[in-house]
Amino acid sequence: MLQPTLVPKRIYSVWVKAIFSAWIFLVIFIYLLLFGSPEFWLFTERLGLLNMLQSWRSWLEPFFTADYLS
Amino acid sequence: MIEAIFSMPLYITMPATLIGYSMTCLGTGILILRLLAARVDWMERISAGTILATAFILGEGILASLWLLLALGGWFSTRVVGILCFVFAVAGLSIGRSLFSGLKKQIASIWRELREDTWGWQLLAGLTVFLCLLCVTSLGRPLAGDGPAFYLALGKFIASSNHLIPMPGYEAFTNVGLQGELHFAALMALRSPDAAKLFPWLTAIMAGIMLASLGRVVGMGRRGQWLTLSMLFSSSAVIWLSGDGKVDLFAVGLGLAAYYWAVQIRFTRIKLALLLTGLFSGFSIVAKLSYAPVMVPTIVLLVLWGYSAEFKNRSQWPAAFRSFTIGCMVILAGLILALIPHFVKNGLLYHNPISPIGSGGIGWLNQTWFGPAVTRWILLTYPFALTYGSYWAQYGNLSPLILAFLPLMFYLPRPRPFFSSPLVVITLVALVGVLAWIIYSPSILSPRYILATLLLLILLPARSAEYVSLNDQRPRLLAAGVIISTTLSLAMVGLYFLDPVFLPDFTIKYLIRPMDECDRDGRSCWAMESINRKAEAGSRVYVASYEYYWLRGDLMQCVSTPNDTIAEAFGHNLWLALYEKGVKFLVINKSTHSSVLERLDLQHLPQWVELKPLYEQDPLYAYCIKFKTPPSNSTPLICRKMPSSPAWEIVSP
Repeated sequence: MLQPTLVPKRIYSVWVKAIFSAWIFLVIFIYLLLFGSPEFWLFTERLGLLNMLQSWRSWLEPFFTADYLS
Repeated sequence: MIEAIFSMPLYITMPATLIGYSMTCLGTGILILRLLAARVDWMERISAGTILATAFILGEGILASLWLLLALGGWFSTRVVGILCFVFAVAGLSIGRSLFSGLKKQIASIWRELREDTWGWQLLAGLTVFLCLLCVTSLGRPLAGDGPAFYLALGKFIASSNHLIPMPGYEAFTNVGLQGELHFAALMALRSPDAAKLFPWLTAIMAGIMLASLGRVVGMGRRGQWLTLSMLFSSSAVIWLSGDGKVDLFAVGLGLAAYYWAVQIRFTRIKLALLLTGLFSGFSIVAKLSYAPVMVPTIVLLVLWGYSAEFKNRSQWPAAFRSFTIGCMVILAGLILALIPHFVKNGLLYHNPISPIGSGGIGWLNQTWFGPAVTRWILLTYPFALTYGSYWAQYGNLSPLILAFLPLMFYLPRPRPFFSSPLVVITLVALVGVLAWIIYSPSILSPRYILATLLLLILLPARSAEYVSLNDQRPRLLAAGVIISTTLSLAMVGLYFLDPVFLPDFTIKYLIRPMDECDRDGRSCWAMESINRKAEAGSRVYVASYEYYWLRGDLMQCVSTPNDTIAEAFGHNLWLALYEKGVKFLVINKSTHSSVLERLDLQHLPQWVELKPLYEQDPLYAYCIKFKTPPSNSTPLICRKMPSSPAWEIVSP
């Protein structure tokens, strides 16, 4: 395939890597909060985090839901 | 002998029909490719898998058009469909033998590369394949909503009558493009509604192959392709459409094939690529009319990009312009060819080839789902709404991995020149497509309306994540992050859908038959089954429900719906209208048609009406109606079987 010339890769900074990694897990974590399976909630219950995470979820949910013609 | 085949156990007939029909699509596509190009394996750069996926999707488009013309002529019988399927499958597959040996080598190569990769990537690939295969278990998913209301119901309607007319109750909606519905009809004509339920899943796999092939074009290696597939199958917008009887996944396959071949124009100027671009674009628009405002600008941009190199040298402008004009004509020819059957259908049935444009009752084309404040909020948070949204009728999201891996694009080497990079151009084109949709219909947030274009957005994060995984240095935070987050996402999506979509235990029970269709689909099915058992052939059923898929084929053709009766008719007058329509059975879904129930006023029936309950489980009610001495001189309408045809028609006796 005809590929354009590529500029050599950049230097990886540990801090930038840490920030990007945190972003990746934040995105997945929010997804888990909103669309977590029953197994996920069972797991959080065992960790004693259920109430806290449920309250986070109820705070987050209104940002991404709306009814017809609302 | 045919009856003996049809009466074999479901776990044999369903997979056999599904595989056989897939071979028909594949064979048809190979035949057409061979017809258009002297040699099917003429493009050595393109893998056998990509050519076969192209053939499958092309076969789907061509067959749907053929089925449509047959159905319009009233020739859509089991015999005709079966013979054509057999001929196309055998002829196409014998011509394309070399492609299968190429595919075998390709699969062996993928397997070898995977075995040489780390266990993390092996796990990721395994989970992706597992999640894809889990979609088979959507066979056990209860049918509800749009599928049994229209898409699957129309398939059954066509299969049982052998012809296509506006479906009762959906007279103003049958003017939509029919692609998926005709495959459902063909599979039902082959007596396998269950294969019809699973067929969109096979189309999704072909769409995945086209997307992964686009990944190869943008410079991805095997890891990037696995990530692409992971993102595709962890998108709930794809999973929700599995086994629900909706037809959106057909448009996804056709749309992605259109994008693949439009990108190819840049690299190969053969007429076939141009024609395929036009054909696939046209078919995808027919399959999902909402694709039109998005496909047109995005394909135009990709074609312009394809020809841009020729316009760089001013001295060659006349030649470039000639080549460009010819190319556009070929694409347009493909587009028109794909649209012609749709125009013929709407011309015959609605006297308006371009219907629904210019027809009455096109409210569904111009919808508003949310008020200004919510719409503004959605637009401001669009990437997040696509990932996390649970808005009304959204029906699924994109994979969180797209958003998660997006910042990794900053690690990608900057291509020079910038716009020569297929990755840059495809991503920008996808963004233009999304923007076009936002301008066209800002208040509709539903990935399925433009899913093919949205899925192009997978390529940039997948390529970025692959690049990082290959080039990360100690501490390899990001490389580990890519594998862990992808594995986690695949696992959590699989678990989340284990009840609503993936139902392995129900599927097994359904296939080996301790569970039947009504056990699976619930009250709507039972209510209609109670009528099926009691009703004579050609009885008229008044259906106050959006769904009547479960009625027997002859009863479906004879139904009377609230569309037939005067909207204001109440009590005595409404019963009189039902008598004059020749209605003998009544089914009501109280949750969706409570107004009809009120108008029927069941508590105060006229003395000349007697109702015998057949099924009463809230919200579904089914009755047998007996009119004793109705105060009317008119003779009720009857539903009569047409001579030498399985079609029924409503006539005055």
